[in-house]
Amino acid sequence: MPLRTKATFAAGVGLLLSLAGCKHDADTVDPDGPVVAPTAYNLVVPTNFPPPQAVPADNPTTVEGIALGRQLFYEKGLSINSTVACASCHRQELAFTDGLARAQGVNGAQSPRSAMSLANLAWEPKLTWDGAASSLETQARIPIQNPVEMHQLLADGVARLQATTTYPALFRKAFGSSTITEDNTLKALAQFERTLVSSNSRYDRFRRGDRTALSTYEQQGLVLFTTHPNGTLRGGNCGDCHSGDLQTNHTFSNNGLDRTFADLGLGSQTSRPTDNGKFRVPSLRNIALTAPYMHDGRFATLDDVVSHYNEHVILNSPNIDPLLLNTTNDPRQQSFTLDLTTTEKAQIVAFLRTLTDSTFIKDPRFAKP
Amino acid sequence: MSLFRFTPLLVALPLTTVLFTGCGKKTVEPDAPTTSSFAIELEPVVGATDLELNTQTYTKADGQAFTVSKFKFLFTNLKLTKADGTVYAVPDSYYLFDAATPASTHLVIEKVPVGDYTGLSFVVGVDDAHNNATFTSGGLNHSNDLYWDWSSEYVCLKMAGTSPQAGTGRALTFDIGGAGVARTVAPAFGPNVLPVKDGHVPEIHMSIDLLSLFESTTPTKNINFATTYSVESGSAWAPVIADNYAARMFTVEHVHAN
Repeated sequence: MPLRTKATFAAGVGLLLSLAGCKHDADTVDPDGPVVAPTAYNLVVPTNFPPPQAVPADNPTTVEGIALGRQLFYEKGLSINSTVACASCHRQELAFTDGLARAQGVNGAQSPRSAMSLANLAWEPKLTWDGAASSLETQARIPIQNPVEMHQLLADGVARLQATTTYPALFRKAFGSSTITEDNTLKALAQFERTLVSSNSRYDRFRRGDRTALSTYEQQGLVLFTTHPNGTLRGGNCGDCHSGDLQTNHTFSNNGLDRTFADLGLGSQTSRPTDNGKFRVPSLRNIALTAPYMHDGRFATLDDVVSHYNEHVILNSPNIDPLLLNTTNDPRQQSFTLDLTTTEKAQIVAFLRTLTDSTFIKDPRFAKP
Repeated sequence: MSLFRFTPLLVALPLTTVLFTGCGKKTVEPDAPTTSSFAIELEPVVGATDLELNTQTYTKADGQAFTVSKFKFLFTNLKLTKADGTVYAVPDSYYLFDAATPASTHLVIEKVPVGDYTGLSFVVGVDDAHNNATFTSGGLNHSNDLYWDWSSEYVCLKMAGTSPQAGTGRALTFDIGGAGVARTVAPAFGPNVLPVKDGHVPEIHMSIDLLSLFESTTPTKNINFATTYSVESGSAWAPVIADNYAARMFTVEHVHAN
């Protein structure tokens, strides 16, 4: 058989589609009239950003899908007692965080972790603090069903949506059918989340060429932020992990918070002891709005965070990132701590404040519909 | 491999048969292909033992011990050579090897002109023409932890780990990048032949010896962890380590004709 596997497979799929076409012509009559295809939505990639992750082939972003996802994001009916929506812990004015150390779910339940900021998720290969999901579609189910968050089976939420007068028509516009499914609910949420692009901070303007967007003091902070100190060059060594315009290298790291771990982080997903204590390196975008900090919200201020990295790293923490161990500003390179001056720490914090995107937190496209 | 190759065929063929009947369409059988595929299996080792991330301790010839938590590099600009000296440059060949990601150790290169190849060369890192902010292809994704955004260039190779002999902090962090650090490597093919032909996926098995970063036949190029444990952008040690691994990291072990 000289036919090539791929060509044959493609031909099979193509003909399967044509068969579907034949069948449709013959027997489908929709009482609501013909289904109109949704309008494709083209995500605008900021010029200083790298290309985003590929959108799943079975969930192209559409205007109608985004509108539905936005509605669902603010929908409390997806929680067991209709008191908590995604937006309850992800408030736009706080760059989609909640201002709490640990997220609060239904009936006062408390999550062991801090609600993560939602911005530029289209660029993230792994989601949640421990990397439990590799796509926004998969991720969306986790908080809905988590007992300390929204605590309701998605199937039950779908039944509620189906019983409303509004949602069936919105799903029909977005996905061609007024029969609501779990998959389409997750897909719509993912589509909305992909549009949450934050790219108008002063730092972005600086990166796009406006050299006046940062003050001299803030630029000194930027240089410290990105520099790996070597005894001659001084630096905070932040940019080795919080790299680039998205301020993350998309890896998981133990940043030396604890000697023993109440929360195993990545290790809870992989079951590898060498992943214990590692958490996602989060983007620092809008960081001044997303206090308190770390996966468990233990630090109240940015000053506390910089002081942790400068003076309080637990050096014998298992699986600690090697970059935290051998990086110092000591001219003789013999200190075990970072040894930034008080002024240098303040400069780094001043730079971090330039990552705030004031248009993102007021963008009407992301607000409660 | 055979399951992967033929399962879609088995599914697709009955479908085509049925559907031809249904919609009355015809197909044209393509000519015998002039291209096929081959694979490269990259096998990370430290000296004589397989690389185990995090858990295993290794020892250099000078007695210094170390562990490895990260080992990744860019494997690009693949070229195949025939015995008559003609060269086939694999277009757009940019791959990421990451010891933490098993899938990245097995590369499949498609649409290669059929023929017997007797040599292989590649670049560790990115050629200067493409080492910039706008280029992304295959393994060259800015999110791959091998890209310095502030200087808009790719890092060729990263290794991280620990060593009790390392200076401050007992940690090793080697980020090998910057101008003039990409290296072209052409490991000896010996008597091996890579027979690219229709219906077969021959496979090159190549070991990658991490020890080569730190050990050289030139004593001044050996890495002493007590003094050299953190190599970053601009370090004078970056090109030295690049020379070290270009010289000795890659060995073609054997080729399966499959």
